[in-house]
Amino acid sequence: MPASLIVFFLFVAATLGITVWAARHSHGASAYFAAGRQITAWQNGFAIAGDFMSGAAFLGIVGLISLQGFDGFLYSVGGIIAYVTVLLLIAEPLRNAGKYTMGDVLAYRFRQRPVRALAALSTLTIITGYMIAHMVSAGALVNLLLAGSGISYNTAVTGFGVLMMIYVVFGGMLATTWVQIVKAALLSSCMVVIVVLVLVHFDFNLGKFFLRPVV
Amino acid sequence: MNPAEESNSSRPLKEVEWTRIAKSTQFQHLLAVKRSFIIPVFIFFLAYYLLLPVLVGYAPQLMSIRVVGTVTVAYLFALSQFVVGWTIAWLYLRASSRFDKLVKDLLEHEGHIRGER
Repeated sequence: MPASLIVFFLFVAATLGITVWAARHSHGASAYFAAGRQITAWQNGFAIAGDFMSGAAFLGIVGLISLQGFDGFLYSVGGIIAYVTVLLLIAEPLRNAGKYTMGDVLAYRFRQRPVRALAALSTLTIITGYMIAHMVSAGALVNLLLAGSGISYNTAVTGFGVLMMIYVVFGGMLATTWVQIVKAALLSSCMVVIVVLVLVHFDFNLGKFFLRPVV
Repeated sequence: MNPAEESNSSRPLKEVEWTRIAKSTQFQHLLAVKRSFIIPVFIFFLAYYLLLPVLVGYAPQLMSIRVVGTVTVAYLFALSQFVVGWTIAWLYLRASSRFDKLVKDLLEHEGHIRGER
């Protein structure tokens, strides 16, 4: 069995372990939707960062920069714009509302049915586009990293979909938060290692690094 | 789990009380303090961000000036967006503790009024 496959299954086993642990500790709506409101700001920050360090960020932005250079880099700046916008215009007014979802907050002030229907519709519309891109990148990643493992593209896409659903349905917010924290920590440390390796390749000379793709 | 439900009073707030609190000078002051932070900071940030693609598109000569070695103005400007984003997050953290203090004072004040009845 190749090393990459072992690492992959270890990660799946660890995240499923977190889900089982979370399912045992979650009882009631507050526990399921808000992890019993026990997640600290730092933990939540890492979890949200983990959300952003997804297939789109790691494969997409790296690919864009390698193909388009600075234009690709411009795209990655958009990520932080989204954070500040969400912080000031959405998170700040909702922070002390004591609700679970944005739909809950809107429904509190307006007529319930149309607001909830629209909130659900917009969520599903965004998620459809977002999920398809991520399922495709998950399948492509398996093809690339676990080549020769016998896992086909279709199996990978279906398998990832089922795994995500298990995390959320059984573990609720507690499991998804911890899975994202583990992911953020793993990806951040991998990224530091890759940056150091790339710099070693260019003798720690940024000038050399910037000139390389042009030459 | 609603903060209103968690407050020291067991009965829920009535419609009249909501309206009274919303009109009170203390609550209006809280809103004014929030607005005076959020609106200017957001407008500054939006302008600072939009300046980047506009300058890259319309002033490519300026943006491609090399500052240090092969690093151009454009790269430094784009990286500065991250610094500005973090700074705003830090400023917000400081401001939000000010907001929280005003909210706490308001809740205590209201609890006092309602306790007397």
